[in-house]
Amino acid sequence: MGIYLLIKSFVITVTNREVDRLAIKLDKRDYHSAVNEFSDGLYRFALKLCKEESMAQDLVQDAFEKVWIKKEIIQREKVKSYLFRTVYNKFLDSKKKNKVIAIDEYDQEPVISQETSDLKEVLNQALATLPAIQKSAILLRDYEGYSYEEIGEILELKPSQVKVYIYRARKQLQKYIGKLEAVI
Amino acid sequence: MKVTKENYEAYLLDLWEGNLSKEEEVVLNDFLAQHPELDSDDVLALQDDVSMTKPEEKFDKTGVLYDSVNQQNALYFFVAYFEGDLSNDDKKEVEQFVRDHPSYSNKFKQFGKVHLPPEKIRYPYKRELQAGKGDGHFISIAARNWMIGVAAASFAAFFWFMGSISNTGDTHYAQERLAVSIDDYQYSPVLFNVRKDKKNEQVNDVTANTTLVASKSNITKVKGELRNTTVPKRTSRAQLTTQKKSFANVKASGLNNVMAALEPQQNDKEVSVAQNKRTKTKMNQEEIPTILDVTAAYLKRKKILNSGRKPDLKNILNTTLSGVNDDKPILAVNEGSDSKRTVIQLGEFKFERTSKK
Repeated sequence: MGIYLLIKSFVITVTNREVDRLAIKLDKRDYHSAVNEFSDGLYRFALKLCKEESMAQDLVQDAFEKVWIKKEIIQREKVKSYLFRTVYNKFLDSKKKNKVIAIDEYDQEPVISQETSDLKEVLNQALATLPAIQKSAILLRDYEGYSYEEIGEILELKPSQVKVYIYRARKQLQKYIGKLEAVI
Repeated sequence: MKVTKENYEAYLLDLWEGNLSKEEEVVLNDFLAQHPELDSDDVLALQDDVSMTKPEEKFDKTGVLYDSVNQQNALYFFVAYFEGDLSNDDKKEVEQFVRDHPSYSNKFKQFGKVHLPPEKIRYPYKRELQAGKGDGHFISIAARNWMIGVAAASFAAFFWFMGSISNTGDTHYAQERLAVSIDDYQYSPVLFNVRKDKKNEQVNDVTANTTLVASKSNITKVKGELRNTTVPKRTSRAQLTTQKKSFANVKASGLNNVMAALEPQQNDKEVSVAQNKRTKTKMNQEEIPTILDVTAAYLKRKKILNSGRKPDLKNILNTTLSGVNDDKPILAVNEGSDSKRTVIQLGEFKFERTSKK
């Protein structure tokens, strides 16, 4: 039994190394195309997440810096999710660092001013009230079109958890829309 | 051992647990035989004190059964419908449910709108990000913040230094030599600082300035003498006449004061217009202070350097370390014939150094 496990672990190690060897790593050209392709989306994600331009710019720059530094070990097809994960984690770090206490506003009653009649504006208002994890899930789902599995990979969650967070977030957004329609 | 009505229950428990000896069992049995009312099942059934009843509540499982849409799980199905998680059959079922329950129709429509509309936001520094990478130069956020901090600190230090100099009472107008006209009149241009309006090139005042380290008393301002006097780049003869008049005013009144201030030991008679040339030559021979001189003078004023431009240890300690123990540090220097003993007392700490000459 012991020998069997030993052989199995050896085979797995060798296979993983082979997979790593064959995986296409990032080169300078890939990096540049990643900047062209993903920087806008990444910035939008960061901006919606932290609601502050300068911080969002820093988060994006940080993420690309990390990709550049680790370009030798990042696989080409994972670059986008790596960028988003970095931005999300850096955002959480900065929140901890700045001792910003996250107040879960999920259960707060939506307040919509009389002037607000634009659906987009209402959705943004509602989005701002979501906890970071739900907000990130919604942003990645709606803007980037990621699947539950991909979102789970970025946010380090199980797909079923992602589903639950998205469900809760949608319910909150629906509350706001309901309120808007009541106001109108 | 005596079994009584007060302690017989304890003996009973011991009996059930098998902790009683044969003798004790006999005593207990005798007691129970004497008190038959205690030897009934009702009295001894301790479990009667505990009542366990089956809960009547029932959990509504329909809310967590996702086999088909119902009123409890409708919202979940609505979300799943618009997320594209349902099969075609499930979708049809949801649609049928909405038709059957018109009260859910509005909510169903609302869930259709809870998707963020497309929004284009451009990252403004994309080119910089690429350029930085292409050249292999990359300034990280941490490094950038550090550099900004250093730059800010340098600026603060610079302005503090400049501010300290300006507080000494010296003249610090923007220096500019008074064009050709001054040279024509053989006044030492070095001695004059001119403040002009940039817009109309008007000379607002002329300031005499010996050196930056000169004391306040040695600086005299001649204000108003050249006011409204225009100094054109090319001077025509007519204009020169006007300027001559203007400078004549300086020569006659203000300039004498200036020269007198520069050389206070001279009396008024000596400071005549005829002697201006000699004075000018003498002044020109004086060295213009270098940045080293200025710095040294400043440090002397701050009692960091002594008159010989060497560190003034005692004053440095007294001025910079005075906050250590809310008192000035005690410094004693005893110079012997062949050695020098320096003692510094800072609060509870005492430093003593003996050096041989």
